[in-house]
Parts: sequence; C-alpha cells; structure tokens
Amino acid sequence: MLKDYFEVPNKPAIKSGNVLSCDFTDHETFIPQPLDFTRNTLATYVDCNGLIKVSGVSDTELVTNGDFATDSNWSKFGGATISEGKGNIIGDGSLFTNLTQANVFIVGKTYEITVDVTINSGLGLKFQDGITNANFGHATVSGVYTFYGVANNTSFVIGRRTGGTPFNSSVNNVSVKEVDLNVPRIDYLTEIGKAKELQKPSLLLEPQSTNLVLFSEDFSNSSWENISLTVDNVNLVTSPDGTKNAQKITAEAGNFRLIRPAVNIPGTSLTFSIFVKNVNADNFYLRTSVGFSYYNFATKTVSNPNLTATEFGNGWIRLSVRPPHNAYKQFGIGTNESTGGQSEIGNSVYVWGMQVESPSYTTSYIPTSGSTVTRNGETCINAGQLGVFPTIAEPDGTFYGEFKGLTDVYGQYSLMTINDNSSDNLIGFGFNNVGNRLWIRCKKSNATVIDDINQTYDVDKFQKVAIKFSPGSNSIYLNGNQIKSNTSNQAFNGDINQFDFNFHTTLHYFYGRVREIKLFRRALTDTELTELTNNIV
Amino acid sequence: MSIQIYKTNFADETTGKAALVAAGVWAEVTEEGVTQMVYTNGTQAVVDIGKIVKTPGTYDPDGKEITPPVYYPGWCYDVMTTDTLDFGSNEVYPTNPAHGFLGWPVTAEVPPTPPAEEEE
Repeated sequence: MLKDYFEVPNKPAIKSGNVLSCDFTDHETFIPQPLDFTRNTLATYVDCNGLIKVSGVSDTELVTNGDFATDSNWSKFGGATISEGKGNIIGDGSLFTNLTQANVFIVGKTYEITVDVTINSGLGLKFQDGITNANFGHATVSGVYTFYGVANNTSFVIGRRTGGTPFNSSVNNVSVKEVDLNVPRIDYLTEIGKAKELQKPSLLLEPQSTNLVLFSEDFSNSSWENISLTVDNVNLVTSPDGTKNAQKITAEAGNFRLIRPAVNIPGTSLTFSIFVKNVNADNFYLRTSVGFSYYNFATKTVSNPNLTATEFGNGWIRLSVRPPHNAYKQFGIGTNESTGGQSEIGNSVYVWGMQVESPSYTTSYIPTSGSTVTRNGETCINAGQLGVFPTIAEPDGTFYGEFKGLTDVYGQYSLMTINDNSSDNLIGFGFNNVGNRLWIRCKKSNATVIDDINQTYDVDKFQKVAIKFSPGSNSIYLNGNQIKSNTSNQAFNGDINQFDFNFHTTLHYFYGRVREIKLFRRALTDTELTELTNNIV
Repeated sequence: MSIQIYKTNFADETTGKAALVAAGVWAEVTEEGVTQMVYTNGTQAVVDIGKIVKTPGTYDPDGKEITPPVYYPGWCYDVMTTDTLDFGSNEVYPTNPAHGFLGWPVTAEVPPTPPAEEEE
C-alpha cells in the first residue's frame, strides 16, 4: 500500500548517483523521482549515533588479518615477517621486501586504505596493487595514513619504497574498503542528543570547500607551529569519528601558548573550526578579528557571537569562528594566547579535526593528511515524471518543503524549484543572496505571481514553507502562518517539467538540509496549509 | 563518464581564470542580479589553489611576519572534469602535490603525454 505522505530523504532510497525513490507516490502527491546526484568526491556526515563517518565508504572489510594477529593470509616476500602483531618490512635494500594479499581488489574500483605505519629507518613504504607502482601512495614517516586509489590489479601490496637502501619499517591495523564517490548524505547533526525514535535526519547538500590545513588530525606534525603547548601523540583517545586518533594538548609555562599552521594560510575571509573535548581546562580560544573568541567549558558559553559551539557526542564540541578574522588561524588553551592562559598552565584539552575553509560558514569536516583537500559541491537535480507537474492546461498545485540553512549569511542564492528549465515558469524557495532572508517565489510567463523574499529566518531551526498557486487564489505559508496571498490570474506559458535543488539549469544550487519535499497536484485549503506548515514539533 | 584531474599553473590568477573560461571549464553568468562563475560542460570542480609556498615565512607569536614566504612562480588551479582538455605548457605534474580531492590519490591527474619518438 502506498503511503499518503513522504519524508525526504528516505534512507533506504539513498544510493549512489541518486536520491529518493518513486515508491511513495500516491494519487495526489508528486514525490521527486530519483534525482541525479553527483559529487565525485567523498564527504563526511554525522550518523545516527553522532559519529562523523565518510559517506560512500563500504562497511565491508576487504583485508583479512589486517591486525596481524596471526602469521597467515599475507604472502611474505624478500624477508618480510609477521610477528608481535605487526607486519615487518626489514631488509638491506637488495630485494623488494613486501607483504602481499591476493584477491583484495576488483579492477577499476576505488578503495580507501588506512594503515598505522612505523618507520624506524630507511626511505619508507609504498602501497599499491599488484602491478602499479605506489598507486595508492607512500609513507616516509611514522603515522596513521589514509590512501585512496583505483585498482588496476586484484592484489594488495605493502612494500619497501625504494631499493638500494637499508630499511626497517612495520605496519599494523591495515584496512581496505571499497569507496563510492557519489553517495548522498543523510545527516544527523541536528538530531544529536535526541532519542532514536524522535530523530528526523536530513539530506545534506553542501557547496565545494577545501580544507586548507595539511594535517588536520595530527598536531604534532611539523606542518604546525607550536608555542608552549605539549602534544601527546601516543596516548590517543576516541575522536568524533569513533576511532582512537585524537591528541591531548597541555598548556606549558611561557609567554605564549598557541598552535597554528607553520605556513601561514593567507586571507581574512576564511572560516576555521576545530573539535575540542575538555580534560581539565577552563577555556579554549580561537583568534578572531575581534581579538580572541573563547569557549568556557564550565558554562558552555562563547565569549562573542563570532564563535559558534556545536555539541557532538561523547563530550566533543566543534568550535567555529566566522570571518573576518585575524590573518593567523591559531588556537590554544585559555582566553587568549598570552596572559589569558597563565592560569591554565598544566591544563589539558583533547583536539581533533581542524578545518580552515573559504565558505563564510563552517561545512562538514574534510580530513587532510599531507595536502589541502577538496570536497566537491553537490548537485541534486533533474527529477521528473510526466503528468505530475503543473501545466498550462492543469495549473493548480501546492509546493511544500521543510529545510534548514547552513548559515544566516549565504552571499548567494540557495534555491530549490520546480521549473520549465528556465526562470519563466518557476515555483520555489530557499535562501536569498542577502543575509538572513528566505526567498519564496512563484513565477508564470516570466512575471511574479506571488513572492516573499524578505522573511528573516532562524538558522538553528527548520523552516516549513508552502506555496499555493491557483489562478485567482495564491498564497504563501511559513511555519503555520499565511504570510502572503493574492488573486492573480497570471497563467503559465510553459509546462513545468522538473524538480531541481537549484534555480534551474546550473544556477543557484541549494545548499542546506532538507527533510521533506512535496508537490500536491491541487490547491490545498487554508486548513491543510496551516497544518502542513505547522512548525510546533 | 571518466573523471580527469588536471593540475595547472598560469602566470597569475587573472590569466588562469581567463584560460579556464577559454577552455570551456567555467563561465561568468549573471542571473537574478548575482554574478558567479558557473561550471560548464563536464566540469566537476575548479579549485583556486593560488601560489604554492616554496620556503615558509617566519612570524612572531603575534602573527606578524618576520620574513616573507618564498613562492614558486605562477598561480595554480586544479580542475576535475569529464572532458578531455589540453592546457599545453600550463599543465604541470608536481611530484609532491599541494592539493587533492577527497577520495582520490593526491597524485591523481592526467598523465603527461609521452614525448614523440624521434624519427631516424
């Protein structure tokens, strides 16, 4: 039996390359049919347990005995050994010493490899399939590595990097998982702390963003400049992604206490953020244009509105400062880098996942390990089903959506519409390009029938918007209230033929969170519109 | 649909932006009073990397520059596309790339065209 309602997104309908299914259409409701979804990179999201996960990475482990618990499953060449829970690659450089596991990959597919590497001496290790030199990458210093690559052969090889030189290295916790770069994200960030039965996740669509720091999870790396903050990179704790890879920093005596990128990241219009979890400190600062913004762990308050604190699970908080801010992106324990940290000497905070990015607001976390890294913008467009859209002949309808902004200052339009592949006949809503205003509009024959582009919105709340369009009776409802109405008789001069998370064609993509989209093939009554958009719950 | 990643280096930002327009990678579009660069054809992403640091600058604890950084020549863009493009001498093949796409090897890029064999 078909449902008489639909919640977007519907998790089982999410799969690579499209969003939504047609399983839930009924006699009067058009549900956007599978949308063409593309991103072509990985992206992170928050799962129902509040943990940061990578969308598109399979749960299936493809390596057997990746923890080297037994001396099995790996073929050992050139003197490689397995002992004491490690794979050891030690030699004088004359042979290609390596550990190989057969039948790990499928040719042509993309994989994620994670591995703990210890380099005691020599030029490091390389990670590859059976025929392509270092096609996944190489490691020259000890650390936890994540590599990605496309397999050209079915075997997985971990070997010494360069011949002719003695080497002594080992690996542990080797993991290989298949990757799909076009899996949409159902995100639970707004649902953290809610009972599972009350959680209402949302489809998360974000713009392109690049994390400009080089090692976002390793603050002991030389890519960071550190003044009087000790980094414990041995006794790691569980981070927001659920693995033990977060480090503890401790304030030491001195005139200044700070960590910042060793190579300055130029620009004052960047946003930066970091995950923190308190050990025994009072405050944690991020430097901003107004001096320093800091978070007080006891009161759970921020010192000024430039700083945002978002709670994740297990005591973790993501602190974000919006631009403009001081040219140098630095953080530390205390209310500032100098006198404001003197009382914190000896105090500690766990840190993880710093991100410096160019959107004027913080986006989902982008991990880095050695270079800047980009998550592509997401496109989710081109849903259509003949006979369900309003037309010249059958012009009545109601378009409804429940959605939430990523920011209160977009700087560009962020829209979702039903349209005729132009802006002549178009009904939609989203966010205005000017700060903190919704954009709601119905156009027919390139003339505005009804609109409201000046409603302010609370960025912390989902908005419920409905546009009723019927010759002689048009109205806009927002969160249970009618905010506009008129009796325009303006007619379509073209048939609506698609739903897009953009304005039309390739313009003004919608970036935000979406819980539900509906297009009714009739003009709803005032009572129905009030009930539909009621935002009490 | 095959994805290609190109790493490019131009004399400066303006030259690079114009070259990418000429190559059909993106275009400047104005609609609803807003002008923006819109990806065209098979473009999936353009990343304005800018100057690449060769030698880091030094800074005092207050963030003030003591010695300026030294940069490699030129201005860099990375392009991800489904199109086959030819940036000529502006395409580069760094051995230690400054930028990657999440889920791709940092060295993922279209391999250089092998030099033509000399005729005897």
